[in-house]
Amino acid sequence: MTSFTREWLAAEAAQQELRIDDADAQAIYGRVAMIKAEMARLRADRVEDLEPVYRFVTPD
Amino acid sequence: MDSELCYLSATDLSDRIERRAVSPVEIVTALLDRIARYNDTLHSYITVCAETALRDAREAEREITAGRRRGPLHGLPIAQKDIIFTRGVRTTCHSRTLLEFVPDTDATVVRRLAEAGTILLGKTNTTEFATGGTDVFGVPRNPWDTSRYTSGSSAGSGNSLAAGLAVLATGSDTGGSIRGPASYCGIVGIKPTYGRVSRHGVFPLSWSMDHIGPMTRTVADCAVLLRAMAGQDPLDPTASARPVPDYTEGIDAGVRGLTIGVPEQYFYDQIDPEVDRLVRAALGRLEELGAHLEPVDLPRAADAAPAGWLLIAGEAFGVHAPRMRRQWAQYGPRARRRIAAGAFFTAAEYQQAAQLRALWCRELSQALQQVDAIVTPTMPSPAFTLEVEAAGPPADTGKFTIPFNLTGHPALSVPCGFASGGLPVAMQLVGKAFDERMLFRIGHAYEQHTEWHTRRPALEVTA
Repeated sequence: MTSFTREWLAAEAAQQELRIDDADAQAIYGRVAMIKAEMARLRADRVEDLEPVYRFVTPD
Repeated sequence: MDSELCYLSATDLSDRIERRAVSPVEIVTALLDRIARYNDTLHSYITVCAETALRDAREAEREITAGRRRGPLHGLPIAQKDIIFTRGVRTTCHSRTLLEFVPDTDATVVRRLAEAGTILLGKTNTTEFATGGTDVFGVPRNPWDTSRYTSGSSAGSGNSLAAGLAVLATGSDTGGSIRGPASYCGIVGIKPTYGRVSRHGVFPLSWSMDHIGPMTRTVADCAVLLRAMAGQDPLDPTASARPVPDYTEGIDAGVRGLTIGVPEQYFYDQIDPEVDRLVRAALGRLEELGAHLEPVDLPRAADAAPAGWLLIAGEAFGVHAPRMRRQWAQYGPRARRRIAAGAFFTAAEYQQAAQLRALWCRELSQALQQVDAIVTPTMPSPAFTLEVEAAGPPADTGKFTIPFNLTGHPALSVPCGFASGGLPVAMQLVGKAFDERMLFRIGHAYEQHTEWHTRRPALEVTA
């Protein structure tokens, strides 16, 4: 997987046609990096086999 | 007298209308006077519908006088959050990109509430697209301390109720946006079960996390308003076909014999000591009233927040990407940064979040089979200052609310006291899917034996 860096974010923003400036990039990088780190921490020991998710509320 | 009228419950006002002790015109006039006095301070409303509200109040009065009263909401004014489409009335979403947007249709909830006889009083302030800042129409202030924030995003609905500028209001809740303002402003709000209330005509943020719900000053009012809002909708495929019950039925049954779950993990960790004290005191009160407290094991609760943040970002970017590409600079910095974050997660991460959601949902559903409801704090602390809000609110403010947006279970915020600075604190009641009635029953029992909902903020007009 491509590692998440500021350079990757800038390139992906350009690919997505988002006109982010430096302050935008800094704020977005901080938020995304924090969430990715949390998800990576959880990935290590929590995700297990599960049927595909198509409902998340008790069915009617 | 007029201020007293503005602070009566909707249920009380409805009784008075039925007895011809007060007229819809008197109620609307009193609220408009109060809005004129305080809106520049509190920034509760983005748009006030004074002329049409008075016209509709006169029409309601005629219908009721002629014996055509439609029900308990007929003649009562309602404030609609400004992301909810109102035909002929601008719906800005607090965004520069939609300053002139006037929908040509009503959202389903607006139509339903109009059919029930409510009168549109105005459109309440929200954070931009229910996620960003409040750069255009002013930051909503907390009536209990105007140097403090209301929480978002249904901020104007929360502070207008607390300040007596509304009787009934609507909100949306993607990570806590009904329950947060309800907690900080000392009012009642419910995020109903996912699918209980149609989202047709509400500007979306996150398709799998968005919920629409009522905000009021009492639990009984909340029950009445939800009934009018809920139900199947052919225009929203996620709206449930399950019949809508009368949520006031059994609301007076009390809590004797009920089992209240108290989470052993997460929800009482790292919170303000006064919040901890007041929510535990509320649990003690419920126990005195005859409920049985039972510890519940929820080890996956801590996984919910990061999964929720990721899902919201990804789904919000899906909604906004075309508009953002065209109008990036017209988005406020906070909205565009939060939403654009969704462009930078991988499909694998989105799927991981969906799996975490399913595991957490399964765990919560199993826990709720053992108890009638679970009680947590709504927010980890009382309202923070406007300076903190301006710098960017603390990341953990929604950590107790977002877990239930992930699972779709209903969650009711009820005031449970005041911290030493005079700021409201609330508990959150979480129930089985589509069992909102149980939450109203417990919340109402608690409310009837406490006096928090009778307190009023001492408002001052500031420049």
